[in-house]
Formats: sequence, C-alpha cells, structure tokens
Amino acid sequence: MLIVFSSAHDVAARAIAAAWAPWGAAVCTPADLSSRGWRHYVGSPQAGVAVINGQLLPATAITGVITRFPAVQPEMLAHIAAIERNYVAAEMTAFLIAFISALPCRMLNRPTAGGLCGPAWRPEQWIRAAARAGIPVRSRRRHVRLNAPAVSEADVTVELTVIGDRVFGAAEAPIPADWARSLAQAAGVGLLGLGFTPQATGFALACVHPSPDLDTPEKLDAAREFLLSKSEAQRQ
Amino acid sequence: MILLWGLPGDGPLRAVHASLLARQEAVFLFDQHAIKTAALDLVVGNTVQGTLRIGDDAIALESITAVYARPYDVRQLPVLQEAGLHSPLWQHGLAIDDALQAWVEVTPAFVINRPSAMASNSSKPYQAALIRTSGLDVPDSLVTTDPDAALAFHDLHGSVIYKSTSGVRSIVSRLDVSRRERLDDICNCPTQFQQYVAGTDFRVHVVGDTVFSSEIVSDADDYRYAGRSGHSIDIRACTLEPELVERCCRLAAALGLPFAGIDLRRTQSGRWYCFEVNPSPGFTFYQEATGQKIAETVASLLAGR
Repeated sequence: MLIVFSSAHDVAARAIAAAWAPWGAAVCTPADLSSRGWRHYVGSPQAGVAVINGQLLPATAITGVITRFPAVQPEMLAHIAAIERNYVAAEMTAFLIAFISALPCRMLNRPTAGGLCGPAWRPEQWIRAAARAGIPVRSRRRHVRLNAPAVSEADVTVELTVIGDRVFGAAEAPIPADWARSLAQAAGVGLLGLGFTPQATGFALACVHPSPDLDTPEKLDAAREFLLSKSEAQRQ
Repeated sequence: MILLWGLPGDGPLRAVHASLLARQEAVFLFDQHAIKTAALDLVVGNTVQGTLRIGDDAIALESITAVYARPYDVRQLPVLQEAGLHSPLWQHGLAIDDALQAWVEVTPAFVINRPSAMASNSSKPYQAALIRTSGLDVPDSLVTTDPDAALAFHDLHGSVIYKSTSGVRSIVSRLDVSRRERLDDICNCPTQFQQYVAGTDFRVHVVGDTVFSSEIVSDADDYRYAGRSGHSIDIRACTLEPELVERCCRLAAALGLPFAGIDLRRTQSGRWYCFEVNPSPGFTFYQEATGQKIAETVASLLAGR
C-alpha cells in the first residue's frame, strides 16, 4: 500500500492517491491519528500498525510513502477540543516523525527530526547547501526592522522537479539537471522542487520547495515507480 | 566576539556569561527583552554576512566566532504578550527570531547548539531510536492509540510510565491500570508508554571532550519535580566507567551536539539505560549541587581554548 500523508484539505494528495489506486494507495490525515489501533514500538518498527480510514494496516504492508506537510498544525485538528489542539498537534507530529522515519519502505522525503517532509531546512540552508554543491545561487536577504516591510522574493521563471533520478523541467531551460540532482542528494531526498531566476551570467537558484506537486501524469508515474522499485528489490 | 542569545535572568545563560566575563572574553548579549529595539540584516549566498543591532549597539555577524543560544520562546516574552497576537511588535519578534535561527544554522561560527541538531529532542521515540544506534540501551517504548496494546505492554513489563511524545515538557507518571476507563482517552492522540526501569538516575553533561557526571538519589518517579511532589533529592558528583563515558561522548557527537545533557539510569544489576538527550541542558541545577565547573567549561569551549 502506498501512503500519502497530508492534511485533510490537500486536494493534490487525494489526486495522487486516486492516480495510484490501481497499485493500492490511500491518504492518511491527522484525523486518522485519532483512531484506535496505531502502534509504534521503538526499535521494532516492523511490529507497528497504522490506521487509515478506520482500517488497521500493518507497517509491513506499507510499501511506499510520500509526505506533503512538514508538521501537524492545530488548525488541522477540528475534531480535537480547541484548548488541546496545540499540544495534540505537537504530539502527533512527534509520533509521525518516529513512525514514518522508521518504516523500512522506500520514501520520497523521509522525515527527519525537524519535520515530516525531509530535512526541514530554512531557505538560507538550501541556498548554502546549493552554493557548496557548486550551484549558482541568488543571495537570500532579510532586513528585519519593526514596522518595516518584508523584502520581496525574486521572480522564479524556471522550476525543476526532482523525483528519484529523474528531473522534470530541465529540458525547457539551460539549467543542468545535475544541479537539481546534486542538491536533492545533499539533502537526502528523492523529491524536491527548485526555483531558478535569470541573472546576468545565467540562471541562479532562488528558492526550494521540499514537497512540490506531482501535477502531471509523468511526475505521478515517476514517483510511483520510485516508491515501488525498492519494495520489489526488498522482496527478492 | 561571542554572541549570547536569550534572557539574562536564565540560569545557564547567566552562568556562562559570568564565566566569559571572568575570562575577559568579548561578549555581545542579545537580551530578548530588548527585542523591540532589535534589527537584523542577513545576506546568505556564497558567503554569510549581516548586522545585528540592539538599540545603539551593532555587531557584524561575520565577526562572531561562537554562539551560545538559549532563546526563550519568543511568543511568551512579556513584551510580545502585552503587544498582543499579530500586533506589529508580535510580527517583528517572530521575524527577528526566525532570521536569527536561520543565521545560527548557516554561520561558520561555533554554535552551542544548532537548532537542526537540537531537533531530535522534539520527538522522543525518534531520538530513542538514534540513541539505540549509538550503542546505549533505551527502555522498551510503545506509542499507541490502542488501550489493549497499552495494557498488554503493561502486562509484559509489570510497571509502565507514560510521558509526552514531543518535546513538550510533561511530568513522568506511572500507569495505573485500575483506572482502565481513562485509557480510552489515548484513542484521540498517540501516547507514549515506557517500561519502568527501577534504579538510580545519573545526569551526564558532555561539554566538547569534557564530561561531568552526577548521581541523583531520589524516591520520585521524576526527580525534576521531587520538591513539588514532596519527595527527597540529593545530587552528587561522580565518576562513571570510561566505556560508558565514551558512549555518551559518541552519542552527543552523533547528534551534532557540542553540549548535551544525557539522562541515564543504572539498575540494581548494573545495566545502564539512556532515557533522553537534552540539547539545551539547564545545567545550573546540577552545578549548584555538585560544584562542577560546567559553565566555565562551556565558556572555554565557546572561547576556543
């Protein structure tokens, strides 16, 4: 079963699960975490159990995971008493980080301590990682003063999407696909969106999206193939 | 220049500050109470540059060689609470905090401790898995929404405690299965249960290559709250076996923490368990009881000698 972890209002998540339905796929939302049956044993993740749409799902039956939100937010917990939402959101996030990251299946953006969608880097960390990887970058600027307007971001004119070893969008712009692959590799993720902006000497990285939309059939196929390929290898 | 970030009344920050001044080190204190007068310019590209201003004082970020970060939750600062949610001052406080957090992540300066390294403490079962891979035993733990699984876990271990799964501080409590109906509450939110391990508590502070160990003798389930719950507590400096000390150092290094507080317990049979790694230890609680020179050692580490 392929699992898409997302908020209940994430329409794109439901579209992903629908596209992957022939291979077995489901969306898991924070509301599912308020269902009897979840189990996570530290050190024995294979004994874990998830509960999705009321159905118990052994951790060993989860063959691939994509996560589309960095943390459970209090506003995602309408079914929880308002006074408890901040605490429950923190607890659910902590649980999901432990549960998902320990799963032995393949993932596009395995959770880290900082969040559910990969390394949870701040924009400046992505820029520094890219610069260290030899990718031209547009400097990220912050000027913080009381009552001062925020600095506007650079216009992104080219977007690349990394899914496993494949890079989408590079063919339409003079940007090496290896730039995108090397940044995803440095971050330890199989899914990454990169926004480039033109500069006098060519394109420079301006921003990064840790969970870009899979908005074409080709991207959906690439993501599914990535998730299922390792599972098949593990079975052999 | 060494940057201290936090509240001057915070025990650990105050102790490190005093040690740095005693060493005549150059210190820039970012007192969060003065956040209204703070300004920050940050440029991150092929280099990391910027300026931090507090009132009339300014410092080039490139001149900072080390940072001791003990920031208080900015949303809880009295000045922001008084200004009100979403006020310009509230937004300013969050923006300063976020920008400084970003700088602390990318600065080439020596940092105690970077937020990304501290993050494992926000998911205790995640951190426990990391502790296990570093060669220290952790108590059996189950996080569940299933009352039957919690009861089976209790039956397996005989005695079980429960505590928060996240970094939100909670008082460790023993599970009372005679109040079975209360267990149904866990269906709403995954709850962490842990094998109760009887024994003696130890706190190990790893400061770079230096280790300070203390033994805590208390009859409370959670010694941090011994006074509040009417239990006794006695803390004394001790020396642990070299192999265990080495494992603690390896664990702190594996987590990317130059300074860490590691909670251990030794059973009567001599087996050691690790419960948690605190990435921002409130070490003055132990220093005051034992006389260990933890603040001086942190100051020395920040000064690079």
